[in-house]
Amino acid sequence: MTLFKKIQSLIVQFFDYLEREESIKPIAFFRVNLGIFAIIKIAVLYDYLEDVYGQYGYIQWAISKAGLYNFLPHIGDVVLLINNYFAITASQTLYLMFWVYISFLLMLTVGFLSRLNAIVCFILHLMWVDTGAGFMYGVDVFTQMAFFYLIFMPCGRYFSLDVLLRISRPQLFSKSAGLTRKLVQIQMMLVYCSSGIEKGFGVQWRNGEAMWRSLMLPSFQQFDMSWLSGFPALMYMFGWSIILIELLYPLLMSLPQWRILGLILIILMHLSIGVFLGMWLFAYIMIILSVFAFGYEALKDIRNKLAQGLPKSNPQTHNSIIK
Amino acid sequence: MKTGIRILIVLHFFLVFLTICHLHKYINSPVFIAANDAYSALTYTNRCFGFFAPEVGNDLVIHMTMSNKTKSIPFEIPKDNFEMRTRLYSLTGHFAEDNDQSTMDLFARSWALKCLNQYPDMRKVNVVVLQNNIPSIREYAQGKRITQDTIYTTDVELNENQ
Repeated sequence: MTLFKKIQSLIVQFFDYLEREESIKPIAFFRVNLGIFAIIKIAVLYDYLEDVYGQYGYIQWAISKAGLYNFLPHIGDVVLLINNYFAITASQTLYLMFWVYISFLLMLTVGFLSRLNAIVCFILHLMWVDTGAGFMYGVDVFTQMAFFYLIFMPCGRYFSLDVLLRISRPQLFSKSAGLTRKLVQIQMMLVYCSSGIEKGFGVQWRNGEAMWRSLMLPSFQQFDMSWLSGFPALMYMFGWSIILIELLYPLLMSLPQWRILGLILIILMHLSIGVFLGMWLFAYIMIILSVFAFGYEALKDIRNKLAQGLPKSNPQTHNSIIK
Repeated sequence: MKTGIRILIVLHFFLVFLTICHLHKYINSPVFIAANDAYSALTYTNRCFGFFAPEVGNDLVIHMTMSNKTKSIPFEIPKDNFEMRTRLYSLTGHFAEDNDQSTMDLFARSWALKCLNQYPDMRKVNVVVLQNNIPSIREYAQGKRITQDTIYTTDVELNENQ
């Protein structure tokens, strides 16, 4: 009975921590950045829309639709629906949906009917991913995940048209802001830690070959990095660095004394993926997610450190910085 | 209401944790499998996130040559965009994901159909998928360079009456 009560008390404490009231500003950061990111993500493929998402693209709709659950959206369904009322081709519908999606993303970015637009963008993004399933990779996974969490956030309560037009009541702190951001924190910790463990199981990551191979793959090669073959120790070191950064992500992000370093390392790691592998969009979404999840705490840590560095004889300045 | 939300959060992370740890493979209940898959297909939260893990494989290159009775021309897959390059890598990754012949045939026919739609005067497409073999650091230092092997080849031809 005592053990049961202890467990119960731990669970209550955990949920009390999760449901603590917190600033809504990181949510606004997340909404704006996710909106801008999603616009860039689809816009860079504008010239290839037919190739990636078209009815007769590299993976035809008949194939991409066949592998889906019935409840999942697909542009083919939209074409069938629209054709009941208007005589437009599949290709025209594709471009129509592109502009419809861009419009909803713009409304989400500026915070107009934010919650509704978050739901619509979640569904529309899923539709693009399902339609171009053959071309799907990590960036789609994390964008969809980000939209999923955004749905539950009070995303229109700060720095939005909703507030300006008085559609939503302005708010600076809320329990749901704290809860949803902590859920993203847990998700990101699980993502990185599991990725670190899986890399740790790979011989290639432990002996540096994975780093070498990533840089040498013709599909990703941005620069001639073959000179690195003369420095195998460097590859070994980079390989282990990636494993450790990912594996220790939960720890780095939980400890205030390590959080700033952890966040910088994660940002540097993803920027390197952008620079050396050309996966800029993947780097961007991962940076958004980590900065959103832990950036607010990291900023607090920086302020605390700055405050500690100030002379103790000037408490007024000290307090103003903490605020 | 509050308890309901807490239960949903626990359920959500239960599915995320099970999948991330690959434990979902050991649960044989059809109801669980269907629910877990559907949740993953919708939210993308309960997936395995080991990108480029445990190993970095060789990348693949698609070559397609179209022909009719009079000529034969190569089909250029456009990849002059950083995002398109990454997505083409993913496409070839999905092509060879399970090393399943029927999946490869399906993808190859789909690519060939794309060529034939774009060039209606062509009748036949030869699809060749090459694999770039990346030498190890030591092998490279000893002079070995990237080589290519053919891992898949097929011809897709229109019927006479098509």
